[in-house]
Amino acid sequence: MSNKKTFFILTIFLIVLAAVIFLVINQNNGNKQSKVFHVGLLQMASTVNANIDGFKAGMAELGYQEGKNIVYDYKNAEGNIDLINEYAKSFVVQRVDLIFSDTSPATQAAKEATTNSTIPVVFSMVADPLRAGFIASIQSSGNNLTGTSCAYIDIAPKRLEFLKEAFPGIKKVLVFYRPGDKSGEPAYEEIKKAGQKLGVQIIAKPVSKSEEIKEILKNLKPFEVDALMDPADSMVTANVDSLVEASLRLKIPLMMLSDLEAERGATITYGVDYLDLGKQSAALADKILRGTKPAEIPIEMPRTFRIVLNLKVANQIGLTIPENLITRVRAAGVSGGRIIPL
Amino acid sequence: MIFRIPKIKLGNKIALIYFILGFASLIAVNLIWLLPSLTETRKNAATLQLEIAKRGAIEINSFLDYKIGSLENIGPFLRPQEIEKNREILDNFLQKEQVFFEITLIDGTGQERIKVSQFEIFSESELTSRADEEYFQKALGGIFFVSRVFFSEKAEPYLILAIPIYFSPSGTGGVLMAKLKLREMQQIISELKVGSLSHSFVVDGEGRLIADPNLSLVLKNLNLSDLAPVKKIIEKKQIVDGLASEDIYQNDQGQSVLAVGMPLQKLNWGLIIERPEADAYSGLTSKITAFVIIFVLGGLSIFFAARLLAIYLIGPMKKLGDGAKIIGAGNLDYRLNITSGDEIQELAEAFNEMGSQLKESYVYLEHKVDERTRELIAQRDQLDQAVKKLIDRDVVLNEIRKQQEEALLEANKAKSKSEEARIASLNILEDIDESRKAQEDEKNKVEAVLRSLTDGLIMIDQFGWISLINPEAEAMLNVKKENVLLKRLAEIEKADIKKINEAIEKEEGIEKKEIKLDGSPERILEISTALVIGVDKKILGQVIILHDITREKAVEKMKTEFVTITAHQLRTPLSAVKWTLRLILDQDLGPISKEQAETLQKGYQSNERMINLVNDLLNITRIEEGRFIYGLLKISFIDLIKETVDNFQTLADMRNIKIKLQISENDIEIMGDKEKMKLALQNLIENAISYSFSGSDVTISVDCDNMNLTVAIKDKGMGIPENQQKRVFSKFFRADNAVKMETEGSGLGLFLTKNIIEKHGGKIWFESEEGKGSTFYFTLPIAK
Repeated sequence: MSNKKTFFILTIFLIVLAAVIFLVINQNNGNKQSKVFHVGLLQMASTVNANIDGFKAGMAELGYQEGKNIVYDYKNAEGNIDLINEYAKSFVVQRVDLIFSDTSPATQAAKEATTNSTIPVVFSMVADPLRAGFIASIQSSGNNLTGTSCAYIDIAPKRLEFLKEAFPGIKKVLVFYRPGDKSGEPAYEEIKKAGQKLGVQIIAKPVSKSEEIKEILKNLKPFEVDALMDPADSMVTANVDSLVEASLRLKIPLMMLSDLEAERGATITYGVDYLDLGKQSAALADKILRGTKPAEIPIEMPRTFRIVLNLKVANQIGLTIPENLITRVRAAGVSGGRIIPL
Repeated sequence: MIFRIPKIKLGNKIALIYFILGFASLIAVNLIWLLPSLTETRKNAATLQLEIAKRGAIEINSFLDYKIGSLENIGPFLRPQEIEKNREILDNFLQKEQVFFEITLIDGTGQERIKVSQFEIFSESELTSRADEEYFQKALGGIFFVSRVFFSEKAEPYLILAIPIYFSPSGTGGVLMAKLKLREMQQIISELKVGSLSHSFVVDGEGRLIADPNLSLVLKNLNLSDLAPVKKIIEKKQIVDGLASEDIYQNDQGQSVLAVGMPLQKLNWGLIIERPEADAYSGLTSKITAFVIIFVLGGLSIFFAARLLAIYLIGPMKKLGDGAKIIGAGNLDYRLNITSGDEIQELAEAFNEMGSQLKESYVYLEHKVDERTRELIAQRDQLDQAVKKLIDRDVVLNEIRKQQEEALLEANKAKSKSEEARIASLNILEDIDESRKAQEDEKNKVEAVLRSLTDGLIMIDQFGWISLINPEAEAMLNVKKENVLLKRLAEIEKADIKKINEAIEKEEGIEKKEIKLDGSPERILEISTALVIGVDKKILGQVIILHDITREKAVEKMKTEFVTITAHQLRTPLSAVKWTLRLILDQDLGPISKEQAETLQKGYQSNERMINLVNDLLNITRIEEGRFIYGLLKISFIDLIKETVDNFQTLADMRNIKIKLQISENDIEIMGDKEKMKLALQNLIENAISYSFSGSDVTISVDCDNMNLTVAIKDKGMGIPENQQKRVFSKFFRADNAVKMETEGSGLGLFLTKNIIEKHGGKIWFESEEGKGSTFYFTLPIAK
């Protein structure tokens, strides 16, 4: 072999070798996930927007950068059942990598739409996924669903206790609920039991439409009830404005679920931290996107429950919240509570 | 040799040696860091993993310590009878520390006093006694208690912490029991990562999985006490450092993992971190990869460098080699231009010098070569002739081979025919056997005859090769049969044989030729040659007879010497007798009678014959000894012959013979010795007269041409018998009829005459018929 040929072959070989090494190294240093995930966000009402925001924030913290390796398709049915079902089906048609649904109606719609699909569903803000029939057990859903429970049924008694503690003089509490609602009705039942323990009468108002809530509130007379309470029925929650208006008119406290309601005029709220629950749900979604099956991920309870006292509204309706409760809320820290000042 | 070193070019050798040395050094150097590095990497991987585990253990311990501490912190604020106050304290605590989901204040008797929960409301009637609970008893004893892991209805793992509390200012005791969610510990475990593929988990004192990033595994209540690290921790309370062989095992997914573990002493738990072995030792992989890359790139670089080195070193040498070839091809004007500044450049300069000198030598050699070329051409011609002879021989051999094949064919035919006549030929076979035996006997006889021959015999075949030599010839020539057979005489390097060869080549059909052999004692051979002609008249070869005449020569010499001595001795007294008788016959000493005169005349004649005989003998001896000197002068042959004829006129008259002289020329001159020539003529004329019948004539004719004269002496006498004609010119020979007719004569005359004629450059021969006469001829060259 002539010298010139030797040099030529060696040069080509070295270049090829260097290129291979470069490619191999670069491949190893590449992003963990080069795939762009398509996630459908299915929301029943804007009242739980913070949950969606928490989910996206949680996904971002886990490395999912919107527009880079994850794309969200947000659908808000604004309380419309038919629309939520349609949106759920559309996600299946689009073959999204994952559906995130918050509240029971959205989760119901997602579950039905994915009956013949393997698209995983992570739910959140579902009061009792087991009672709702979404899962086989807390330990394992047995299907393509998993998620975080908002435990509103579990904390329903505690919510009544907080209401009683904040306003010790209340004797009668009006509770709207939809019979058959997977969250509202069982929560109401728990509230009713707790009322018995606390010496509070629960005035139940079964409703099926928002108009009914409005109508009842419109016709409610002073001193008819001492307080209003949302059992954690999404339809009731959706009527927060009506309830606030009644609360102010009747100068009676209103117990609702989250900061959002407190900001809209509820006197006191006790419930999950929507944002934190959303982040907690994101951790489950991350596991699924990395390959774990939903059935292998147990349903999780909220990490944090949050109490919000609206001193301003309390003052408006002429009520004073005990100082110890206020202290407690302050001591609970940012995650445990919040005081809306006068 | 066990193996043969293959031929490799020098450049490749240099490159190969450099490559091997460099490569070996590269491997050695890399191994120096790689091997310890691999061990270190293994150790570092385990160390790192263990450090993470230690950190995790600290975190878990801290977490629990903090939570226990936070419980302990509220103890002093609790009052034994201030239920609502205590409730408020507990509610505040629960709202703040939401990792606890239930807290119960138990008094010293074990009775629950206050119970608050994140979820439930407990009425007073729902409070029970915990006096029998282990945690109450242990905590009341003053030791904080940590229970095993439980799972709530909501599938949340939790454990029960119970701490003793001392109500102030009374100092009485109680127990504060709290249910602690283990989600935070789950979070700690999940965040304990070594690399991206590690898996951390916590087991309790019984080996049950109580914390795992995969909660579903925890919910399965798995018992991992079979795992070696778990066993080591819960049984021996030892740290699992990842360096022992059992620290590497197959996990439940069939993956080989490296495990480290830390015992959590306070809780009797164990924290284990598993990591896929491949991931743990990825540093090894990268080091090995680095080694391989260095190995490959380094090897290539060394190879590259080796080639460059070879090119740098061999380039000038190649130039040198090419230049040497050019010079060697004959271009002596070519000069090498190498400026490598080393020994090769010196060598190139030496080559150039050599080229110059070669050129000078070349011119000289060319001249020498031309000379040698001419010699070689001559030799080549000789070789060509030899080759031609060989080719002819091949042709003849082929012919013989053909003949043999034909003969074989004929033999085969004859064989088939003989088969038919086999029965009849049995008798013939017997005869043949007898004949064969006779032939063999004949052959043996022939061989015996050859062996018994006293003369040497050499047979040369038709191609000139010696085909037969008898023992006598071997002895004479001092050769061995096997050394000379199938060789030509000329090819045999022996002086004696060369002499024989020269003699044969000079003349064909040698009658008798003397050859003196080299060596001592002196031997003289008389060689005769004769053609060997086959029955089909083909010449089969030539036979050379070697007759050892050494003894004969010696005897002849002795005889000659004797004759010489005798002749010399006799001459004087004979001369004296002649002189005496002459005196008496001339009556110088007195008168003598007629009868006395007749008697004395007879005596005188007899004495004359004796004197003539003695003179003849002396002449013969002189001839044989080479002392018969000829003084060649230009003489007139006509005058000589006339003179000689005159001398014999008296004898002729006495015998009534008429001498006729027929001379064509007036004078013919020859270069000759007058006396010797006269003697020759005398002998011839005397014989013609002596052996002629009375009344006949003797005719002497002399003719000549430009070159020679021819003399014919013709008589009509008795002639010479045919069977004795060959010996006419021999010494002492006289034909039988001559002896009868003329009782006197020495038989030396014609021997002398032949010698004289031949010495004068002439020839002598005769024609004779018994009873009719003889004519003797001789020629002599005419003097120029």
